[in-house]
Amino acid sequence: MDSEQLHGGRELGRYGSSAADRLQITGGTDAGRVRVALTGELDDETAVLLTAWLAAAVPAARAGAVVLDLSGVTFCDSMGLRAIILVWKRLHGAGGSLTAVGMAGQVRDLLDRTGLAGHITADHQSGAGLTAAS
Amino acid sequence: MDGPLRHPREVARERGGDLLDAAPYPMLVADAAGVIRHANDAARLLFAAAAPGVALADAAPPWLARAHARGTEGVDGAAARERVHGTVGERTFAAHPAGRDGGDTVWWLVDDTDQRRLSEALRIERSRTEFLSEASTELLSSLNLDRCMEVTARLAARHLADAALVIVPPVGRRHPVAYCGPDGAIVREELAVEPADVPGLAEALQGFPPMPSRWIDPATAPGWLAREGLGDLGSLVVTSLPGHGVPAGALVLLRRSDGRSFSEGEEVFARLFAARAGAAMSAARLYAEQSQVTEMLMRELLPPQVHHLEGVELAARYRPSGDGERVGGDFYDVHPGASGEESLVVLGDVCGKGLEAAVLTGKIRTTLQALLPMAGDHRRVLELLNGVLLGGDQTRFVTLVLASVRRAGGRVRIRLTGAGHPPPLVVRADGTVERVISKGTLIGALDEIVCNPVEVALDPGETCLLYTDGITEAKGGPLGGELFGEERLRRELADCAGMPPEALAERVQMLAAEWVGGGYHDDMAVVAVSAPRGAHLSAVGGHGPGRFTQ
Repeated sequence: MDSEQLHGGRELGRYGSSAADRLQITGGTDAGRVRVALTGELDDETAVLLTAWLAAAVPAARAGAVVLDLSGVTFCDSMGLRAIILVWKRLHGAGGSLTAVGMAGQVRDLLDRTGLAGHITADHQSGAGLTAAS
Repeated sequence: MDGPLRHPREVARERGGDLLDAAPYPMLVADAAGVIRHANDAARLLFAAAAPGVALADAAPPWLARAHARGTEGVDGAAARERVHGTVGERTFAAHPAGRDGGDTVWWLVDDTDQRRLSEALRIERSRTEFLSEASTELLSSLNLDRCMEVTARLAARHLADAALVIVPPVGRRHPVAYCGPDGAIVREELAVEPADVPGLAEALQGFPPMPSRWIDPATAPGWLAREGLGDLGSLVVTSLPGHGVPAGALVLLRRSDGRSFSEGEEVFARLFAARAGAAMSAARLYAEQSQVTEMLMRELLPPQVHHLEGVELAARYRPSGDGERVGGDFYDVHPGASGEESLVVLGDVCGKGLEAAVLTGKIRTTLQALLPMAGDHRRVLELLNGVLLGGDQTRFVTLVLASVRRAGGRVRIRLTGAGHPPPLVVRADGTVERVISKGTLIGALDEIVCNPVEVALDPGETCLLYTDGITEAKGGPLGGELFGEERLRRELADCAGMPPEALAERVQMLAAEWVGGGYHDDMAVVAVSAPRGAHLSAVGGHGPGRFTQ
């Protein structure tokens, strides 16, 4: 499994720390399946890191199953949600899939209340490697 | 020449001055009595009358004769005379004295006309550069067109002429004008004048192609140019004030007849000044036009004033995220229904912030307004809105709550439909706070939407609070970084039972604002819908007795 970590710009955002300090993205591919784990906050400043990471890690031509581990995400705002929706739409449009796992607290409430949980969570799926890390 | 280089005086003494005769500088030797003893070729060329035996005063200009005379009182015979300066014809010379044995003085004259001219040109150039720099600073410090016109007129009158007039293209039929007279006082007018009456003015006002300055016969100047207080007009120049594509206006420089007329250099300089003034005025006008457009568009995006509906009390609060911003991604609207019919209250949150989000709120509000005839069927309204948003080229979505409100007997009935939005909270008379669960998908993200309309009823004094997640997701608190959260909001609302909606909405927004303190916050919007406590209470402005004290 090859891993990489992506850091964005160093300039401090309005939240007092840089986007890359507030969201860490780790992931790798395993048997053609991409697994991405997010740690930190997913908002209007950090969301771009996720879309950029996935655009680089999952070329449209090789879109497959992507598992998004949100167990380390403590906060997600509407722009964070938008990033997840964009990724989900892009993968679906290219014949792939996105499964979000490990949501808790505010993130789970948000996905739940907006009706996205039914589309991108693994509740109805079971498979080795899809279990939430938490 | 032969021999080593020796002092000219020595050479002259030995060789009778023939070497000095050939010197390129005019040289006069005069004795203590002021009589010329020798004049070299160059001196004779300059002063035709200069010859040995002729009085210096008769051959040389008075300033040189005077300088020579001043030194004749010397005691030791070798009078010390001072270097002097003066004109010969149109040229200027420096006369350097050198004492000679026997009381004679040798005057060497050095033509410094060109050097003086250059120094003077440099001085003028420096002062002009300084003026232009100051003018630019003053002109660019304001984006107000009126102020730019006044600064232009004042600077031009003070530095370029005796009086100046700035005239800009007409607003309607009248030309705004700024005039500055010799006293420095600015006069602002709107004049219905005919620019064609002043040669070159109509062209300068059209500005394209850039017009050279035009010299006008002062006798033909109309009264609005040749004003009282200026005296007899001597010369007048019209210069275009070039703008960005469109002309900014024209500058008219006026000088009295007792002053000098405009030189070519001054006219060129006036154009340099006009270029800066025109650019500043043009920028000011573009800014004014842009801010007018912005203001007009912004008005459409500003949250509306809410008024009480028939038998229903309403209050709303709105706070955009950015300081100084007036619009954002949160919005609300109230569409009053006909008498006895439902009114539609909408509160929503577009993903994102700032103007881009605000523009989408405008689109959503307009769409919902168009869908009002279908407001009886929330599902249909949301499906149509979903289709409109999916059809757009933005990947933006909205979460919102539709609330159809009507008075029924003493109660207020609300049909509520949530679309991915935080659940509204009902504050009962006894302080119980209920979540109104109406689960539905957000709008603008998915092809198919789900919604589950619910109905709630409010007794007198009870309130239904619609809010955006800017309230519950406000970050701050005593430790910082903590979410305000729905739990805390519900606890606070439990203490707000019986509070009029105006006070309740204010309190909720204040709590969230206090929670974030000076920190960053998202857009916040709150709408409180209440059932009035009774006629006798609304008669005193709805501020009924409650547990809320300030």
